[in-house]
Amino acid sequence: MKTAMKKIRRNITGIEYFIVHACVETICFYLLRLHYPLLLAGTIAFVYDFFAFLPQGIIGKFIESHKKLPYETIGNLLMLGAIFLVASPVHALHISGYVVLGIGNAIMHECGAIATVTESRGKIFQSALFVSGGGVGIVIGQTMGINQVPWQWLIIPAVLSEACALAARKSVRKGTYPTFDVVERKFSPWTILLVAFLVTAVRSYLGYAIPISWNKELWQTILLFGIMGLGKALGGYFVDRIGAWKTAVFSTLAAIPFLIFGDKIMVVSVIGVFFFSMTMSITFAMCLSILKSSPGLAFGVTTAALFIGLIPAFFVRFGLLTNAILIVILSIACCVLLSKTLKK
Amino acid sequence: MTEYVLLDVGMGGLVVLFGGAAVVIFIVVAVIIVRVSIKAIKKEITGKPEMTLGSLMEGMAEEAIRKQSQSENTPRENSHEEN
Repeated sequence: MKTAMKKIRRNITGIEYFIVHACVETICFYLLRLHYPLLLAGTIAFVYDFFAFLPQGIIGKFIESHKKLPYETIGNLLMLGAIFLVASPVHALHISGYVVLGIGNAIMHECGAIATVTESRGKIFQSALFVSGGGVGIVIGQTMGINQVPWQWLIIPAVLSEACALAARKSVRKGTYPTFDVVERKFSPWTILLVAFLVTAVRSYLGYAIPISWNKELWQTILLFGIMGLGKALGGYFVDRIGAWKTAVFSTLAAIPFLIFGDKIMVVSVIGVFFFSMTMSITFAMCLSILKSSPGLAFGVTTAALFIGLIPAFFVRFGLLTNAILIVILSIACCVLLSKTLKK
Repeated sequence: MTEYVLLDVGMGGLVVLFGGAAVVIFIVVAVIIVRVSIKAIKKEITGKPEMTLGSLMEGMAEEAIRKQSQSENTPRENSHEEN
């Protein structure tokens, strides 16, 4: 009991931002699904993703160098404003609501990245825990949005997010960060960042390409996102325990057969998704190893890559066989890149 | 009929116009974000402070203060040694 309490206390910032992340994604995915299906659904998702993912690096850098502003409150207020804009009966306001929502989301993510790295003691687990909270929020938000739950319910996650973020507000403002060193020093910093960027972008694209025709019921979606979150969190845990190199090579290669043959069989697919999600924290740790004094910027590199990886999904859809071939080729390419650049 | 066709063409034109403008705005914003991010990363990697007009003036002001304090300190130090 004592040990469990000690572990919780050691990872309290990660837990707080796990809740914040879940609340933020609940609001975002509720609003993204509120007017769904719509002719503009793709455009809305693109606009939101653009503002939520791309500017995070700049926002993070700004937060690190201007510590006095109440970023958590600004982020949550922006999200609250977005709720009113998107839920309003005036259609013309909806798109601007999604822009505001994206920026609020980006601020909250950056606060989470900076806070969890600050309190990490050189371990990536807390950041992985923070990132894994998103899956929980996505399921809750989507379910609420599709079922047209009254938007007033979103006040609860907004308040909870503000409370948890304020509890960890000191961690965002400390300004000293522990060192991460998971990459081979023989490569230039730009090469490492490029590899981290490419691997993240590929993972982002593959996330949409994974065949999951078994996913038809709500509980299956909950299971899928739950496993995804678990994979992300445990990926961080294994990086700290057995090292980034072993985790990266094992999880990337192990995921391939499960992802390809799991189209119709849920259990097989879910195992693949679990392994696939484990690389999430590795690319962040790679960026942290280069951008040592700027975790916000390091996190921004990975989120920009996530956005770039998403773009093809908006315009191109491949068949099952092409997707399977892409999964194999891109996964092996990622594995090779990671095994060369990560420290053994 | 002709009116409807003209209306369609007009609406289509507006969609192209607004859509085109939106695409251009997105590209411009994306380019600005990427350029600023790369600049920040470059600064982090090289560790060199970026040379802007503000930093240049700050540096000049600091240099002037340092010189002034040096010139003020020197005779006092000398007088201290003499004492």
